[in-house]
Amino acid sequence: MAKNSAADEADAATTSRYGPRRIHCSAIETGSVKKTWIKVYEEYELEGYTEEEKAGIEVEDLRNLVGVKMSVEKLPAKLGEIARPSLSLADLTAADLWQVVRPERSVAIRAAALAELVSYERERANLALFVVEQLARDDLKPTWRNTLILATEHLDFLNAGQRQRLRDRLRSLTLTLNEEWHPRSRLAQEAAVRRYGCLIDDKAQLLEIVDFLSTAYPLRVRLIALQTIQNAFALAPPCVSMKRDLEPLRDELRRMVEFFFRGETLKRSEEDFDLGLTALEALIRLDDGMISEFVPRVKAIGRRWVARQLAHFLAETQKAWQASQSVSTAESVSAVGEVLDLLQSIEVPADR
Amino acid sequence: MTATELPRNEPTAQSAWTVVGTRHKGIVTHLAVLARNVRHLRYGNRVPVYHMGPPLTSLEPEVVGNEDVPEGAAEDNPASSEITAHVAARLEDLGDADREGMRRWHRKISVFFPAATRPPRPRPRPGAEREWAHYFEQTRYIAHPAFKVEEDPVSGIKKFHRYSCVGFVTECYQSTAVDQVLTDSSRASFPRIDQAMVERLFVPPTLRLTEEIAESINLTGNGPWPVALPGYVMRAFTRTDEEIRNHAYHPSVEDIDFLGAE
Repeated sequence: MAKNSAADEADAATTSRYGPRRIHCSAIETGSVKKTWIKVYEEYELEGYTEEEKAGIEVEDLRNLVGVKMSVEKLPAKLGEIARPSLSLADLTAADLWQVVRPERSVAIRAAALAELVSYERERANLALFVVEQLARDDLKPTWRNTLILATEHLDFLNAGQRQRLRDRLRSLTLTLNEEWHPRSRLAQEAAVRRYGCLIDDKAQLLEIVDFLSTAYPLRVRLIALQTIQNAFALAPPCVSMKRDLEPLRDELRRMVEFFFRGETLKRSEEDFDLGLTALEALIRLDDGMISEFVPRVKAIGRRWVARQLAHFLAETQKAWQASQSVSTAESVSAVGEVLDLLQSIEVPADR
Repeated sequence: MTATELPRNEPTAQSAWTVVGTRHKGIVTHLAVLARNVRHLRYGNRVPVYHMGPPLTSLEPEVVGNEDVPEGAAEDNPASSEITAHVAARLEDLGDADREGMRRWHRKISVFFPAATRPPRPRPRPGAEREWAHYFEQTRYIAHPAFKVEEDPVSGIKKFHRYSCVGFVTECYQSTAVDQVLTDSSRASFPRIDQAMVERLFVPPTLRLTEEIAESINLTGNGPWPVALPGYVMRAFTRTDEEIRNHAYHPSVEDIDFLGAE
């Protein structure tokens, strides 16, 4: 295998929103068509593809992708002979891109085309339906599945049926992805939890999120789950019946906060602080009556920034709940205000 | 004075979470916060930062000439990268409590950002504006307001935050150290900038501010728009620490180039 000079390189670059995707045809001489093109992919950081998937990449697809002006029959050929390509996926029309995302194409090409299609605003409604239907399949290759999950973060799902199907599927995929260690699977898992959290139309469904607080999940997944709880009640506190329904969730959060406060200050890691404080903030948004009991313990930690951030969070919550102008929130607003006053009244030693 | 142009000869030491900015043709075009302590910082050095980019004028290739003391997990975070630093601003009394608080704020928002994305090529060709508009959307970038919460259209639950570079820096400081850096940009007397200035600050030089791009960064209509600019933050940091911490700065149009406004 011999490499020609850089001047002979045929260059067709397209940028994907899901990661590095620079397709760059180096001038490599080889007797094996497939091997040549696979080499092209490896050189240009198409991450997340298994060897099997790479082997499945079709020459025809690559030809379309880079716009190489030659027939399949002419391959194998010295890539140095290939004319500088005039087309990339970014140059295709939306209609052409829909053809490329068809199941008979290789995963790499479909993923790139899907990423490109999302940039067409008028295609997004159809794309949302397509993504939900594709994700429902049980025979998804990991790369394609991850691409679909990441795409959900850039699409709106307005149909109630679609939302429920997607929410259920993302929840189950979060569990599946927990068994995988590839970095892109990690990114997909985080995207799945973030998107799942926005699709909760009935807040009682937040109970499902208790699972994601388990230590079986990575720290970032647990933090996203905690922020999802905060986000759900950012504008108004839960009503009385909702608070009752969500009692198991509050129990879990109290347990996490207790665990945080039990730790020794000097031994607390960033991870402890992140989980403990974010859980405490989630409890505040759930309008938990025990918050005031935790306030004196904030002082005991001896970190002024912790008290300051909690005060900031309480003030922000109070302001947002006040703006909701609901009679039922008045009591909760008042309770948050009392906790804030209590927090500001205690003197936390300087730690600077 | 806590906001200055960086020295061209004798290097200065700057600590993590100091505000740094890129200045181009008399205007501060981009803001960020230092991701680590930097022992030797001169005008034009590349520095590791946390920031919200674009604008793209900060993407000039420069040589890194710093010995960095690791602070935080900059290497692991997709929101950290490098910019060219020409100006710097800080609170003289910025302490460990402030830094811890900002570090935790950054970790908290980081988990709610989508996977990192590379910008499209800025070459002019059919579809380039659509690609850039999409890039702004997917990176959660916004020009105005400087910070915005986007909600799911059905559940109303927060989906994500959008920041401009100014919004990122001001929210970072407001998370712990400062009450409010700038006054509300929706106030009628907030300076308004025209289309030419928006193009200069937010659009790659080879492209124009099309309706598509303008909408993607939340600029509707023909303008001018009350966009919060990096120079305003720099100017805010020329005040005393007490003033910075407790009183929002109300910018004037001269602050676009904070050095010229002195």
